[in-house]
Amino acid sequence: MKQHRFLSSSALVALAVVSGFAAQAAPPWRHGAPESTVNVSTYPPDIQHAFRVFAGKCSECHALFLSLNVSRSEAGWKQEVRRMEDMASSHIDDRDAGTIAKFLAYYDTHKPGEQNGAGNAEGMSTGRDLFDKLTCSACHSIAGAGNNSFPLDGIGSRRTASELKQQIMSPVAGSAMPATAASQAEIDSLVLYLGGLKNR
Amino acid sequence: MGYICQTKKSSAQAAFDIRRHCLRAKRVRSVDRAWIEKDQVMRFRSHLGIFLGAAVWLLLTAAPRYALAAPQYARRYHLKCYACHTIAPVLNEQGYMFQRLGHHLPASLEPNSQVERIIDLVRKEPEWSLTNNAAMAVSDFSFSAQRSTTQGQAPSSTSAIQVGAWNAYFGGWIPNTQFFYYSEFDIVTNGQTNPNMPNAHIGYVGGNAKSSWYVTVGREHLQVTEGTRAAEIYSLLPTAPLIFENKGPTNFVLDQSPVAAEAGYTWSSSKYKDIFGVNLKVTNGDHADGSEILTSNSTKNSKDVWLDADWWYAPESGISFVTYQGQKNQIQYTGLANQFNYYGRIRRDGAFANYMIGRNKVDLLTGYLHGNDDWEDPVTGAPARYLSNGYFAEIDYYIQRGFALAGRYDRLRQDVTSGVHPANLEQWQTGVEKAFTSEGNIIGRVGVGNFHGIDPVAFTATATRTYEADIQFNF
Repeated sequence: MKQHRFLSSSALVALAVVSGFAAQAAPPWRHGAPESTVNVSTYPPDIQHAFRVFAGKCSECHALFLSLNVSRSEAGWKQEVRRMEDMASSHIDDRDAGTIAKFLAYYDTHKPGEQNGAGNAEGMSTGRDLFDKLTCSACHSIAGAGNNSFPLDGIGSRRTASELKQQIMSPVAGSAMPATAASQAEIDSLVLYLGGLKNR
Repeated sequence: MGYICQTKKSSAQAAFDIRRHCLRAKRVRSVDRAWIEKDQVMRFRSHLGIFLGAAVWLLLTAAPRYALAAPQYARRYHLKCYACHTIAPVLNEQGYMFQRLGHHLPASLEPNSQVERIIDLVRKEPEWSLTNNAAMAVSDFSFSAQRSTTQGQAPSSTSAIQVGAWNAYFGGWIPNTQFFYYSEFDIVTNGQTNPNMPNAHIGYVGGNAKSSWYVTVGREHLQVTEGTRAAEIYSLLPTAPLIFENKGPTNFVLDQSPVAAEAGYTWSSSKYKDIFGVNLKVTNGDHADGSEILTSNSTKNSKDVWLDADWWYAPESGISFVTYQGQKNQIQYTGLANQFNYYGRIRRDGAFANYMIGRNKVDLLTGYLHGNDDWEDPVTGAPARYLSNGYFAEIDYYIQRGFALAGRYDRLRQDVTSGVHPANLEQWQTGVEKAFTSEGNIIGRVGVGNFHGIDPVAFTATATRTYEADIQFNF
């Protein structure tokens, strides 16, 4: 009987240890970068506080990198966070939403290797020009301008930046959309522009 | 036993409901209660040390930060399990809406803004891929030590460590359409290799994120898409809730998986502050002969009807009303001279409510389920009734996200009107549940429970004390 109990306990412990190692083996990027990788120590105190609100609230449902890797204007972030606030089981209230949007807008212009806010606006403008230059309007329309077969109004609410990028770089097989010859920088600008086309 | 429907235990398990399989107490009948209590204290003391040691080790040592993988839906949207569960498989408001919107992520419902149609939700879906929709497995490893006592027999103790469950799921949407599907294939159940498919249905959802409807057909667990938190069969605790799963004199349990046709309607206010859901289901058993509901000596199962009405009020509180009615056609004394058919009507009516205090902090749950079944006296043949009144109260305290303490008390009062007098069954249990990953997909639990009571027909007492621990992997 004692031996049986010993074996049972040992097996349970072994299982626990194995599960621990197995789980540790997964690369962090698959499910979200550790929150600690965001260094906010040089940010103003109110932004540091805003980061804590952002980390606490947003990480309840998703990894923080999903927000940190996306660029939006301050108005865009306000809209996006408000959208999160209005989802079921949201734990974000109006005050939290403002705080989170404030952090994300600040981070957007201060993250490592990123240009300032003017850069975003410039990118948006460039993206709009590229939309015309690359003749996207042959099949797509924005605000009624262009071919209404495939309107892109509100596409920024329906697709993430990475999805837009993927569609532009590697259109779904079988679709009429051609692969683009645009440069990486041009695609980034285009994605930035399209991502800003939110539902009103 | 009386002449009434005999139900084999349903093999059905709803989505993610695997833990119940491995650890369910085998309730043994008949015992002298005073003797039981004295004996249990002595004999279980030795189990307790092992149990607590293993449990502490399990909770404190095996706490990985990242999971090897995440379930299909979480993977699809890059979300954590907590987006739709408090701790899997207990659904929150968003999880409830996810199911009712045809397995699409609920859109935000901003005041005075255009509401997205279901087809818009479909178009927003990431590109269809196998890993986002298919064949995710859930495994459950468990340890349990159990002590049961039976009057006139030697008390028995059992303990086991085993693969309690191994299930595979396939669920999602048909690309570019409003059709959705869901299936569950259970490979291992209760430690036994017993392939079974309790869920396999397809549905269509229409309307928009605010006002939607759906229809489904196929094999379907009775609790799928139904109920607010208190009405869910799933609990944070390892042992199945008594009032939902008790196999009383009629051996009827709500937790079944018949063939069904279902229709439901859902309405949500802005920001999902209020959600109203109602659904009606007609079932016909796993098999045409109804042998899911009845035992194999059934030749026919009339249509059963299940109605459920839910009201969620944000963020995680709600009320549910459920009613079930079914009539059975059961052969009694098969092959004998006195063989006859018994047409028993089974009725269940319940009301359930929960109130979440704070932001996912303390959840108070309670419920009442009334049973009123036809019964026939086995000796005199006189018609009678089986009446039952089940209650439960539960409190869940979420210490932090993915870490909860839970306690629950169930009481079921049963009465066969031709019997001696009413008899009670009681069950209490308490436990700890902790997710080991930030995503919430590897979950460990420890719990202790005590079941005792008297069978209202045989009028024999029952007592079982169970210590349980398990670890569940969703990937």
